[in-house]
Amino acid sequence: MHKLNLSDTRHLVSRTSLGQEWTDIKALEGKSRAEAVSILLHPKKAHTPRLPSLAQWSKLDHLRSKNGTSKHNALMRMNADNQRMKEWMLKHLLTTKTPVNEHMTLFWHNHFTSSLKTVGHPRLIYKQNKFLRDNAMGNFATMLRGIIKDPAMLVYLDSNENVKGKANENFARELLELFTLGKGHVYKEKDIRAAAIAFTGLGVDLQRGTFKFDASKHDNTPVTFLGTPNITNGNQIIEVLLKQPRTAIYIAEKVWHEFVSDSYPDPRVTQRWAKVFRNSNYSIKALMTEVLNSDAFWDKRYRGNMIKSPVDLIIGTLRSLPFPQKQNYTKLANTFRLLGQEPLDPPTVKGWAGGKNWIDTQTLLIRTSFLNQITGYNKSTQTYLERKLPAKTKGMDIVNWLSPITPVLPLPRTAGKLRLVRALVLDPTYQLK
Amino acid sequence: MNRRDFIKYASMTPLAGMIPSILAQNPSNAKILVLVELKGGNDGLNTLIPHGKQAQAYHDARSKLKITSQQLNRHLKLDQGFYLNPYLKELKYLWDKGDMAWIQGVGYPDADRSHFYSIDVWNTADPTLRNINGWLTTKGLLSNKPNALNGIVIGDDNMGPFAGKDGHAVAMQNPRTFRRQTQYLNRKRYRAANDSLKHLLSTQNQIHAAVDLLDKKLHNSSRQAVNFPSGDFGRDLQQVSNLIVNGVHLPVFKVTLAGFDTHAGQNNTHNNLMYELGGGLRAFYNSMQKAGLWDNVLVMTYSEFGRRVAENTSQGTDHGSASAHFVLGGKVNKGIYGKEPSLIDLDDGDLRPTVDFRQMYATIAQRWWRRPNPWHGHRPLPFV
Repeated sequence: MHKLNLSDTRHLVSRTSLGQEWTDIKALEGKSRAEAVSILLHPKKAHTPRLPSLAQWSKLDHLRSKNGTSKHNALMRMNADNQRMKEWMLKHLLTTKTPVNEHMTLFWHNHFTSSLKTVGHPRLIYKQNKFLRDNAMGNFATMLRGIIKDPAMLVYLDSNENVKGKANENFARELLELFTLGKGHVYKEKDIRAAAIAFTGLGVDLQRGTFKFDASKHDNTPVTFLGTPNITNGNQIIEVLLKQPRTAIYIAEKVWHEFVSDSYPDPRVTQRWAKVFRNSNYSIKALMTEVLNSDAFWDKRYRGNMIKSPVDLIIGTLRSLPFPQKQNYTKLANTFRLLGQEPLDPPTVKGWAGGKNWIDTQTLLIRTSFLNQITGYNKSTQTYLERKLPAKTKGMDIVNWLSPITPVLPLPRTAGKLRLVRALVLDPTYQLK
Repeated sequence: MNRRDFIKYASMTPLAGMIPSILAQNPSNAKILVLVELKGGNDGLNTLIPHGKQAQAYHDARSKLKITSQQLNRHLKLDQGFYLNPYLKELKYLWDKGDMAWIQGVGYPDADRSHFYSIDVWNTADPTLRNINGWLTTKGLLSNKPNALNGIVIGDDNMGPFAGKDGHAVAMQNPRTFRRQTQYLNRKRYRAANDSLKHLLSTQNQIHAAVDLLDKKLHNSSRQAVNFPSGDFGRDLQQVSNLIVNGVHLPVFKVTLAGFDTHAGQNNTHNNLMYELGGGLRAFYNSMQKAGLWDNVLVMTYSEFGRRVAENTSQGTDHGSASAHFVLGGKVNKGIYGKEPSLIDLDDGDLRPTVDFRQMYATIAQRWWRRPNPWHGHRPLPFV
């Protein structure tokens, strides 16, 4: 049985966790693939920290509907609350004890997107975030059945406007195009219309912040959806979608892009994963076990070929390197804004495009100056750092810990663990995972 | 050496790709676009004042905020019954000279009234917001050579219309700060083993190309005799002016004037902003005119939305839809373009757009840069 070396476990951890913490990658060294993957995929139960204190948004909602100063004030308060939520999320990312589950939560957040700025009710986003975290490594079918009743999602995709006689297709379109089948696969425009009718009446009680079904706004006319006749409600639409083989393939392709490569997936591989996924009745753990044990995931071709997201880079570095830091979360949230990954606030319904899109002239400068700043050291922190960095390690271990591929710039010739760490972090290859 | 060999060797010369292609152009052919973002949603109705056949409707909707007939003297009179906001009077000279055009009713269907959402629509030229890339990165519009530099955004930390991995632009508070920010960025070239690393290298080279360009052009550069108004906006325009006068002829510069979200006590705020806008752009004109480059620049304003027709109860205006914008430049065809939106027949209290904002972009593409119009179905306007 092939035993994983440090470079292998760094690959596994940096692709599935938040950063590359020394103890995590060291703990998996010497294990077989299957053992290591099984350990990773069985974390303890994920915990969602308490909601930060926010305005009573039922009151806010009322003010917001007015014009002039009170509206302005309500919007200011909402923006402040949104900001608080972003800082809350960053703090959680930095401190969570279940980083793999959190990585999966981010993956689903980027799939079932809703944004703070569009939804405008921070508490609903909190609720959705908890829902995604609780199910992140559970069951996709459960998640899909739940998301059609998730208040934030329903607000985000205009479901309150989807009523009998005036169907709003936004939710139905995204359900097919982004959540299950993917654009250009299986469905036609008439299926979107049919699904929109089946979903009429599903909405949100904005005062309470809860899901609400209004039977008087529901159009009970039977529709045909993807060839299945006599559909009269949204639950039936979801069951039809779960029977479609394409749904599992679509998720498998997304998983490929998140965990293996930006490049076009090998269809034989994703189809095999999709089959496992479907046969397990959409167990996310079963799918991820298959993915992380696959030869594609471990293929040398794909190592270090992906650009780290701002979460990978900033949160990952802060979690992995023991630099003494007192976190200013407002400043950190601003860094994330400049880097194009505002927590809980994806730019479009398609989520963050990721990959090469993370890098432009602006973000590259900010990434570099951030890394430069946190690895800059003075005499007082030096002793602390030398002590905190992994003991009894050879230089090569440090390289394998931090670099996904051979660094492209020359490494320092003078000894010193700290100097080496700084050089590796500032090397362009550190932007990769 | 045959052609194929030449290309082979040329590509091996380390610096061959570093020189922005636009520099190769003769300055007298430069076609520079200066974008002026009016951040917060400018009240078009109090910028280009309808004092003609819709004067009554304007007065009715704006009992407190209206610019009164007494304020609108003949020195502010434009065309078709429209008047310039009194605090924009510095720009009247450019109108009289034939170098200013207005485009009214600019917006898009089913306008979104969120600042963030709507500015993204303008930046990406995509009302459905599926596209995250800025309109200036549209294929075929500007150079997409790996190290090309197409624009500089001054005074904002947002790439705006250059957003995306193919931006080929840099954002900076000012050239000096930018220079400082780049000192930690690796300068060494390296062999990029995969696509992602290639993209990192190309982006790094774009930044250094910008630094080198600024160093070269601004080193010992001549200080201009033209005075710019104090304040951020004047200073930013002065930076742009310095760059252009010293030969940095990139296709695009962008500056921002912020503070247009006038929900309450609008008049003072808006008047001050108009004064800053007019004074800054007049100085910019003086500077370009002096350098003989006024024919090479086109200034265009834009904003995420206009404001509601009716004023609110706080002597302010709330988020609306369509708005009026203007362009300036030696090659501009004076006039007021676009159909005047009705102040009576409204869409839920808002103006109905008569010109799609992508027609502005189409005009820049086709009539200013002489490139094919990528926004099919959105016809250019003859304002330039």
